[in-house]
Order: sequence, then structure tokens, then C-alpha cells
Amino acid sequence: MLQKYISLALMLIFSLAVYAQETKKDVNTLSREEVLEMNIEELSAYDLEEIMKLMDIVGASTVEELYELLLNKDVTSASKSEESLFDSPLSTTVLSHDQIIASGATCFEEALRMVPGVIVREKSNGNFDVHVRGNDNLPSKNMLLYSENSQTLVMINGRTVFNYSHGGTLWESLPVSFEDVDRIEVVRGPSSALYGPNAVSGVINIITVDINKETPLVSGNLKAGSMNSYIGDIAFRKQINDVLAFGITTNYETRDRETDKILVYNGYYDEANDVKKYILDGKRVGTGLYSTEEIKRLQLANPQNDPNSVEPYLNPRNNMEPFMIFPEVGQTGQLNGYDITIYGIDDIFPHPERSKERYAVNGYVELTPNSTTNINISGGYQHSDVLTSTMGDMPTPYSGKVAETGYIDLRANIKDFNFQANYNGGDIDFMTGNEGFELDLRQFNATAEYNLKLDKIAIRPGLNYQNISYDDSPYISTLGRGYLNGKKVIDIMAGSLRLDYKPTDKLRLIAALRTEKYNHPDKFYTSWQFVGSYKINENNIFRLVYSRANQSSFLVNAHSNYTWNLINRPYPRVMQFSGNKEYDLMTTDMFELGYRVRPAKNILIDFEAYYNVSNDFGALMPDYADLYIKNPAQIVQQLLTAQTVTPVVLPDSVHMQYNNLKLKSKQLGASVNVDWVINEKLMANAHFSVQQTKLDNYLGLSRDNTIEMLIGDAQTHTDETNAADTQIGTWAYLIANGLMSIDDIPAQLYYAGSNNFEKNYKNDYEHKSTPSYYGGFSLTYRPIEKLEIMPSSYFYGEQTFENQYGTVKIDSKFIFNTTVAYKATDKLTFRVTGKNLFNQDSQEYAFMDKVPTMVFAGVNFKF
Amino acid sequence: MRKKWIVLIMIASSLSMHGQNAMFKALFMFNFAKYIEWPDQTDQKEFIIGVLGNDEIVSELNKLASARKINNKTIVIKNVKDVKDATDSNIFFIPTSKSSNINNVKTYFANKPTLIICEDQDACFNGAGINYTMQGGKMKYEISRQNISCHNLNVDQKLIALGIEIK
Repeated sequence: MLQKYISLALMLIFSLAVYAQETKKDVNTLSREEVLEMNIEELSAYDLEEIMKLMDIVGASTVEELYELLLNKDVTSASKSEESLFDSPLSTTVLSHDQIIASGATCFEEALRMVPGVIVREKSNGNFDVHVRGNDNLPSKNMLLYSENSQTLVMINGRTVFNYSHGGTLWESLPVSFEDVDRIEVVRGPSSALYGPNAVSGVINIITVDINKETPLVSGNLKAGSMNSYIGDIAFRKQINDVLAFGITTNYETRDRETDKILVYNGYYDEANDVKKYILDGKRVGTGLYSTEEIKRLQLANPQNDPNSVEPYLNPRNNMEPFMIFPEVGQTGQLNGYDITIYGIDDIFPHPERSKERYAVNGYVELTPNSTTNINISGGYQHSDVLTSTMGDMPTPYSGKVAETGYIDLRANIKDFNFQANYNGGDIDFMTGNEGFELDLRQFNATAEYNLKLDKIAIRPGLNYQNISYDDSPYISTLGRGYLNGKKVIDIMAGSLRLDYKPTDKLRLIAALRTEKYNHPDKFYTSWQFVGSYKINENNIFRLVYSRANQSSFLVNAHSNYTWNLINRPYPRVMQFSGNKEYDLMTTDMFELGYRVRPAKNILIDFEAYYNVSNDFGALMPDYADLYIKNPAQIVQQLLTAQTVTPVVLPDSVHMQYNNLKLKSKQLGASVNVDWVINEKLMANAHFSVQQTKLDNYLGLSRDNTIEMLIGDAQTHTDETNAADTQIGTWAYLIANGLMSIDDIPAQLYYAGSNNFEKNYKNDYEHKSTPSYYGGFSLTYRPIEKLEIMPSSYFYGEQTFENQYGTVKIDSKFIFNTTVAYKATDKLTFRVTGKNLFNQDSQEYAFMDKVPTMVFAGVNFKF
Repeated sequence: MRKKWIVLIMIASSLSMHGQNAMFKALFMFNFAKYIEWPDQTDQKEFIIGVLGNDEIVSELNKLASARKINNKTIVIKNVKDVKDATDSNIFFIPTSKSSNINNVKTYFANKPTLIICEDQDACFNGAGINYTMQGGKMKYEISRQNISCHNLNVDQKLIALGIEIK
């Protein structure tokens, strides 16, 4: 009997077990709604692996997960090791891949408009100027080159991508595109102590995807839009096993301008009285947009083409020859005993209608032989060709820039030891169609660091070596035609130490020091970061930062050796540019106060206020000018006939030397960023920055102003001018007495020279090249799972851009965009973006293209 | 009309998503116990899960406790303000809001058969056996075999394989 009961009981238990088994549905067949309907008791029937699958089915759409995605990101660039963004000891922002794609941005620079403290101006379709916090266009009243941001270090996985020739970043020559990238980390404030020179206003570190099991095999983005813009990239990536993963990516981008006309500027002798400088088809014209065919016919007004010209001696070569702004065809050779090379306008602007074309390919190999070792090797090649602001000095602010480079990068982490070595090499033409601006570049960089983690302190000693060379000799017809005229090298040896001490759970003290030794200047430079952060509780953290950073030497500053035989502009006849190997490197000191708060778990507010002082700016500026009498024979002849004649005294040659300026910039600013997950359907972000920059020892003279001041001073050198008068008298005497022929008088006679003039420095001069306010906002609205609507904006206040050829007012601007995305499947999303929908098409960057409304449509896929 | 129904269903499902992370954390915890072998505790009739401070996980764990057992023992949830009030915990959970207490908790449970679970960055480096973490918007867990073993607990290899091992 007992056996019966036992059997019955066993059967009952078995049946219940079977029933339970039957009620537990196969995880592979469950829909998201079915999972959401289950209670915890039902879910507890599933084992851990199944629970993980169920979580995948539910997907990353819960509010908590959004908090994690948007408010609790991780960052590595601020401390060189992974930490929560909330705990980051520096002013830091992270843009994730998904955020960048969702924003509808068409390139990295545009995506950076989502980052507080970053000023982004579009120069021509797809070509941007990116500044962190400002201090831009210093020293002002100079060439456009000095408005390039040479104070922010851009890196790809910690590999510097910097233009050491002139300073700055050639954004178009970055080989990677959206699909390569996992996130972009932006650190604001001096960071040379962590990353070396040029991390003066901050660091932008583009971090590529770590290939793992979840990485799609094939993924990409394709986009087409206004102005013949076509942008696409595709990635093939695969983790073969736990040890090996690889990837290949490629990208392509082409964009046109709204016009194929080119601005010719500096077109007035006297703008206030509308005295125009140029002649086109017999009519006086000034600054304006011209087709390349018109430019071929554009002349400088002089007596030969305009009898009413008040500028009789404008052509330094031959007064009676038409002075063409650009010759119809290129000419090279000798003129009046000097080498000249001027390329025709068609060589300088072969595609005036196109703003950008680039393509690149990248390869990645990731090795993880064991849990404490990973080795990443990447390499790639890129070609870029853009029409953007010039790095030289032509009658137009535009020029072409072509770069063809390749790189290889090795990163190895073995336990706590990190090693990175990379090489970047290729050919860059900074000003197409102009001899002397094409160079071979070779950049080698190696860093070794060890992160010793003790109980409360992490100690990170490191060594770094950089060897950078640029060589123009392969591309110049004879030595002297380039601006370097040979291979010039920057060598930097550096040692660094970072201490990260957490005496309590709340207090964190960081000291980072780095000392660098340069070949030129032959000096040591030390940069640092001292940070104290105090985490009051999980939702409030304060920090104080004191840091210093410096630029590196740039080759154009240290090694310029360029004789500019001026063809396209009036006097002086020749300008000699000389570098200065021992100049002092521009340095910034910053004090910063930061505060992050989570007033609620769905809101993160990040506030930063800073004061920085920058010294040791420099520029290639005139340091000597001389005057020549241009008509000595005429004067002698008329002296002999007792007639009066006006001596024509003109500046003949000017020496430009790279010198430090006394200029000092003092900037006070603040930024606030708010991320708010309102609910799972609505997210908001807003950031706003204000700043004021004041200059001490501001001279406010352009190159031409300085030349005028030097000339003015030279004329006061009576010992020299009297000597010239005496020489004229001597020739007159000799000719009158038959001891000399009038034909023996040289074409010109030295009159006087100067290397000095009175300098009236101004203090507390308000520098208005950086907008006093700027910022942006975005709303992400997901009314249904498949649809996302993202209106966004970027705005800035008005600016005054002081250039050597004039002062340009940049109007304030409110750029309003909207992106609508339709997620057809998990693998396919269609996206339409309207950019600048209010059609505020004013120039964002002095002299460059207007930026009208644009529409892009595209698709993102991953399989 | 159909559209309205769809909207209503979506709102309902959205509302139900609140607190889901807490539910999944509780489910993870319940499952962790299946892969951990505690030393012989025949005298102890209850399986005690201690939670430091207020956290949404407590209500989820209570729901589980009323429906399930672990190792044939009744699950008891002790929601405590001080670790000393959860002396015999088999599992002790430190929510993010209390993560600064990890050192106290580690010291208190030193050599005791307690699995310490946290949800804070680098918690496994500070003594946690298991640490909840978010990666790419997904909840995962880090696991340290060494930190679990030093509490005289044996851990099944599968639990390590399913998580992110911290050595």
C-alpha cells in the first residue's frame, strides 16, 4: 500500500514537473511582450543563461538602461584608465557611436557640436574649424593660418593626428569614419601632462570599436544629400575566437560647394571711399566672388590699364606690364633675375565646385592571448582633397589641400604595462598649385607606461619619444622654392609620472607631471595637472584643477626659409620668411572648478568654470624693411637738366621672422551641460558656454601695418637718407663730367631701412574672435519603438574676426536641425536629416562659403 | 481605433518596464546561488540575503522569497542599515548608493561563507565576489573567483563563463 502511495506521489510530482516544464516556454520563441508580461515568479523558472537571453529580448529600452547609456558612460581619456564619466577628474564629455549616428551628423566635426565648450564653424560643405573653448585667431590680424586651431590635440586611440608643420588638425585626413568609432572622448583644459604637447585647450580622442562577439559582421552607413554630397562607410569585423579578432573598414565622401566661384579679397585701396583695386574687362572691381575664367582676366589697376590710376608703381616687376592676379597659364622661370613660379588658376583650383573628397581603408587585428594581455594592431591609408581656407597668402582666402597618408599603430597592454608605437607617413600638399607647399611627412611616436595599482594609490610612470619630419625637397624644382627647403625634424623625448591617490572613498588627489626635451627649441618644458576631487555622495562631486600645457615646436615657425618673390601683389618686391629655432613655445595655465550633480537619477548636470592665461604666442612678422629709390637714373638726369623730380621711394624687401610676441591672453569662461532622461520616450540634452577673452600687450598691427611702421621709421634715419642723396649727387657730378654714363646707374638705390618702430601696446583689449556665448540642445523623442525624432540646435553669438586683409563680422547664428529615423528592423534604420532648417546661411568662418539649408537621407545597417 | 489600442498597449508595456532592472538583478542573484556551493550549513534552515540600505531590489527579492527556495531553504531577505544586522547572510548585496561601504562589509564578512555582491565600478578589485555592471546598455556581471573562494565558497565554472571574469 505504501508503495502505491509512494508511486502515486512520485507520479504526481513527475506530472507537476512536466506541467511546470510545459508552462516554461522556450526562450527562443518568446516575444518581447510575452517576456514583459511575465512576473518574477514565472521568470525564476529560467536559469541564468536563459534570463540573459530574456533580457536581450526585452532590449535596451528600459528607463534604467537609458540612464546607463546616456548618464553613466565610461571614459578613459581623463585618467588613462576606464572610469565612470561622473567620477572623471577633468571636464569630460563622451559621444557614443549611437549618439553620433542618431544626431544625423555627417562627419566628426559636426558631431562635436553636441559637446559643451566646443566651437564648430563650417568653412565649406564638409570642412570645419573646430576649437575647444576658444583662444582662437591669436595672434590676430594675421594670415588665415593663425586661425587654425593648433591648441587641441586630436588622437585616434591615443595616436596623435596633428599637423606639426603648421599646427592644427587636418580633419579631412583622418582615416576613420563613423563605423570605425565606438566613441569620441573630449577632455577640456590643458592635458599635456597626460598626452604631450599641443593638448593645450584640450584633447579629442576618437576611440575605435573593440571587436567582440556582439560586433556585427557587416555594418555601415550610407547617406546622400544636398550639394551632391555622398557619404558612406562599411565595416567587416569578426571575432574568430577568444584570441583573435579582425576588421576591415572603408569610407568615401564627396561634397560640392553651393557655387564654383572663388572669393578674391583684399580688393580695395580704400574701402571706405570705394576705391577698388582690380580691373575686370575694363571695369574697376573689388573684393568679390569670381569664376576661374574671370579670375584669369582679373588685373591690378595700374597706369597701363587705367589712366586714372593713382597707384603708379604697383607692379614691382614691370610697371607697364598688366599685373594679372593669376596668370591664365602657369609660368615658371626667371624674371628680372629672380626665380619665380606661379601656377595658373586651373592648377590652383582644378575643381572649384567641389569642397571635399576623401576615401580611406583601415584594417584592425586584435589579439587576446590571455586575460591579461591584449594587442591591437591597426593600419590604414587615406586620400583627401579639399577646398578650404588657405594656409598661405594668395589673393584668395581659398586653397586646395591634398593629403595622401598611411599609418600603422600598435597598442599592447600586458597586465599593467601599456605600450603604444605608431608611424604615420605620406605626402601632404598644403596649397595645391603653388610650388613649395607639398611635403613628405614622417611621424613616429612611441609610449611606454606602467600602471602600478596599490591599495589607495595608482602610480603611472611613462616614457615617450616622438620623431617628426617634413621634407619639401622632393617637390621643389630647385632649393629655395620651398618653405623648408629640405628635411626638417622635430625630436621630443619625454618622461611622465601620474599619481592618483584616494585617501578616502570621497577624496581623490591627482598629480601628473611631464617633462619634454625638444631639439628645437633646445629646452626642457614641463607640463602638469593637479586635481583634487571630492565626492560628497553618489550624486555630487566637486573638483579643482590647476594645469599647464604647451604647444610643440612647429616646423614653419622653427625652420621657415622661404623667399617670396611677389608676383600677385604690389610692393614689396620680395619677402624673406625665416624661422626661429629657439623661440619660446606657447603655454597655457588654467584654473578650473567643476561640479557634477545628479539631482535625480534621470538628470545629470555638469558645470565647469575656468580661467586661463596664455603666453608666448608668436607669428611670422616683419622685423626689417628697407626702402629703395626706384628711379635713380631719372633723378640724376633731371638734376642735370635742373628740373625737379620726385624720387620714387618704395619698400623693396621685407624680412619676416618668427618671433615671440608679448601678447598675453586671459580667458574667463564657464559651461554647463544637462542630460535629462525625461522618460523612455523623451530625452533632452542642452549645453551652454560663455566666455570672455582679454588681451594684454596687444599691438593690433597686421603685417602690412607693420611694414608701414617700419618704413615710417626708416625715413627718419637721416644718416642713411643723406647718404642716398649724396650718392645721387655723386652720380650727377660724375656724369656731368663725363666720368660715368647714365646707363651705369643701377635700377634702384638703397635709401633707408628699419627694424624698429614705436609700439603702442594695449592692455585689457577685448578679443572678439571667440563668441561670447555658444551652445546647443537636442531632444530625442521615440513615440513608438521604430520611430525616433530628434530636433537639435547649435548656436553662437557674433564674432569679430581680425585678419590681415580686413576685419570680418561673423553674425550670431542659430542652426536648427531635425533628424527622423525609422527603424525598419533591428538591422536596418532609415534616417532623414534637415540641416539648418531656418536657412540662416550666413558665413560661419571669415571669407568662406555661406552655409545654407541641406537635406540628407540615408540608411544604417548591421548584419 | 486600432491605433489607439496600440498606443495604450505600448503605454502599458512602458509602465511595466519600470523597475525591471531591479527584477533582473534579483533573478540573477537567485540564479547565482545555484552555481555557488556553500560549506555545510545544515544547522541553518534559512537562506539569508542581506541588503544594505533601501533599494528596489528588496521588494523583488521578497516576491522571489515568497515563491521559491534556495538549496531547499526558505529565502529570508534582511534589509539592514548596518552590516552587523545581517550576521549570517549567505549573500550580501551592496547597492550603488551604499558602495562606499565595501571595505566595512569586506572586513565584516572576512572568512565567513558570504557571497558579496555589489554594483559599483571596480568593486571586484575591492573585494566583491560578483559585481553588476552595465555594458552597451545591457546588464552583465563581473565575477572574481578569488574573492568568492576566500569566503570558503566553491563556484561553478559555468557561472564564471557566463560573466566577465576579473582576475
